[in-house]
Amino acid sequence: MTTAAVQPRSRYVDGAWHRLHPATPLLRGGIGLLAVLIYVGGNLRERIVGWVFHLPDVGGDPVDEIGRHNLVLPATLIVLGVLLLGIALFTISWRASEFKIDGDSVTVRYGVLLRRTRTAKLDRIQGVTIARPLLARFVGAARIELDVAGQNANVRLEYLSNVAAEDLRRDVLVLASGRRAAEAGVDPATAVLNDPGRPVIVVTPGRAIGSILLSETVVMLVVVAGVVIPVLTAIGAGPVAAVSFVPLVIGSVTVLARRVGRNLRYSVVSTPDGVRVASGIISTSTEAVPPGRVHALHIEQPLLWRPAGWWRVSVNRAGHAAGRRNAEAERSLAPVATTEEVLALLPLLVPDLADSRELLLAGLAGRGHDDDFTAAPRRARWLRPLAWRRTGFRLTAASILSRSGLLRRELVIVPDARMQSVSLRQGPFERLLRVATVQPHVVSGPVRTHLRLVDVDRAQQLFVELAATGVGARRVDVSHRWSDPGTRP
Amino acid sequence: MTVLPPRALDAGLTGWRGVSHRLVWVEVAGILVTAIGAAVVGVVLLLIIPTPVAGQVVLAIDVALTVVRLVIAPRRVRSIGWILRDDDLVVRRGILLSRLVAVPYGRMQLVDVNRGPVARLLGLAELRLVTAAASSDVTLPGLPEPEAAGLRDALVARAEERRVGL
Repeated sequence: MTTAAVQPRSRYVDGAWHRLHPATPLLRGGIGLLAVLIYVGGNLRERIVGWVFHLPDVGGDPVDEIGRHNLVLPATLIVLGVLLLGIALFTISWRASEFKIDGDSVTVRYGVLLRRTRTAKLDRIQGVTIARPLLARFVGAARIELDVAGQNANVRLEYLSNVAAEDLRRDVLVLASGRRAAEAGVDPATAVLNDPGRPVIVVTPGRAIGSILLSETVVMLVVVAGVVIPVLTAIGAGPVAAVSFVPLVIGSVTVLARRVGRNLRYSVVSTPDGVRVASGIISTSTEAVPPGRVHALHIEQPLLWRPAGWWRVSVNRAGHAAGRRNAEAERSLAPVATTEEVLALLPLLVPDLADSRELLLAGLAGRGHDDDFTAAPRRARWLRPLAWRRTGFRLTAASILSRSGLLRRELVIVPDARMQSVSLRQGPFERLLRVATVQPHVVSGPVRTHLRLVDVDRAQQLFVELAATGVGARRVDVSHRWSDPGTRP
Repeated sequence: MTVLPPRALDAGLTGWRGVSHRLVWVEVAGILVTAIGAAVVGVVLLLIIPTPVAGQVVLAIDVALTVVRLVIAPRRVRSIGWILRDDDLVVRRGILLSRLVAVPYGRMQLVDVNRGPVARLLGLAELRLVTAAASSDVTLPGLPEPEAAGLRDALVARAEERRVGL
């Protein structure tokens, strides 16, 4: 990082083709190689143990069979041959994959038989993720993923050295954000580049573990163990219940352990290049989320978290939602944060919400008509007997806030400028109670953006307003190139 | 082209334009295909299950649903309306579940024109708008083919004029 002040661009940003990290073939074929090594290693251990303790040879072991038939040399040759062939194939594919970065696009080409070239415009990049799987960490390599809007449209560079990956991410973000550091010459931006950032959310180990212990999964396990099993035992079905309980426990513990692993060392840092999310102990991943790329925010508090004052923050982002397997964990921007941390985080993601602490607190915990939220009419209680009191919405200068949920508190925020279209809906029961649902449409993701139980006249008015503000907000919006000099507020 | 009368849930907008009444026949064809499919299931059940109750129930429900759907088909078609406003296209539809959607021209990613087999016989086409949000999903069926092509060109031109980032 020390060279960055002198030369803000890494050596990759020069418009020429570059190869990836030389260990790439090993890392990409890593799992296969590891499997072979573990298999061979396992067999060797058995043989050594057997040899030391003079255990009888029961036969059937492939390695023994090979030894017995004098096939050691051919077998070794075959194994070596397969290994060499594999490495050779990966090496050829490594030599064939190259990338280049110039002023406004990233191009990757790969493939031997079927050559592919993928070009992404830098100003379309939604975020940058650096991931370091365990194997890659041994050789100091990292995978860079440039998130682009669209199904399966990410640009992956695997693998680069750690330092190169960090530099590259910074450069891509700088270029993507419209701030051309080099053109600006001696720009104050170069100083900002080295800014390590201000931590916004730091998850302590206690909170990481506590938040998991108070999650629905654990509560369900406790209920099953404490109520269902005794009841079943009492009626004489104990063994069956115990047997069916075991897979459930194993499955849940695996999931929970993974979540704890992810939440430990979890931090969100505010930098001029956007919000940076780092997590994980064994496999680490660092992800940068530029502001203005957040299409919708969801802040929720399960009932059990309320005494502790914890919240979970998830976001909808273009290019990120599609094609992830462990979606829920991947998508939450902050798996557990305190109220103060949430209040500090939101203005970074939605600049419009700076200095609106009271409003956000009302959105998080308020209810009824006591604040600036437009509450649901009393007659709507038939549709949401508990939650209607907290159901309400509020329009600020440039975003829509919607709160709901009495037991599980929820607050949804949609920046006007990210709204794609808007709908107004009314079902038969809503018609009876003279309410309607307004929904600003945003890119798909975990956040649902309905404004429910709105008085029907207000809803029609709101629909027209949102259709108009959506168009108006977009014309002045520059937050997708948020650090262009001069456009920054 | 027909101008529709105002309705309860129209967000105070006026100048709704309706779609072709020939769309009713497309709807009827769809309803009949579903009805025949369900009838086949009912008959098979009658033949393979010794007690005829299951098959009779399926057939009765099928007939009842088909009659209801055929009766409301014209009203459903009449409920579809659209307005080409300065900055957005507003589409409304549905009787029991009413839905209004406003799609700003600048947000449109794609405009599809689809024609099913029955619609093609009647010279109709369906316009479909795609934005970056999956929930937008706006379809406008029952446009006469020349009108659909004209509307598509108008939408594409306006989208080009006002294109914005995501």
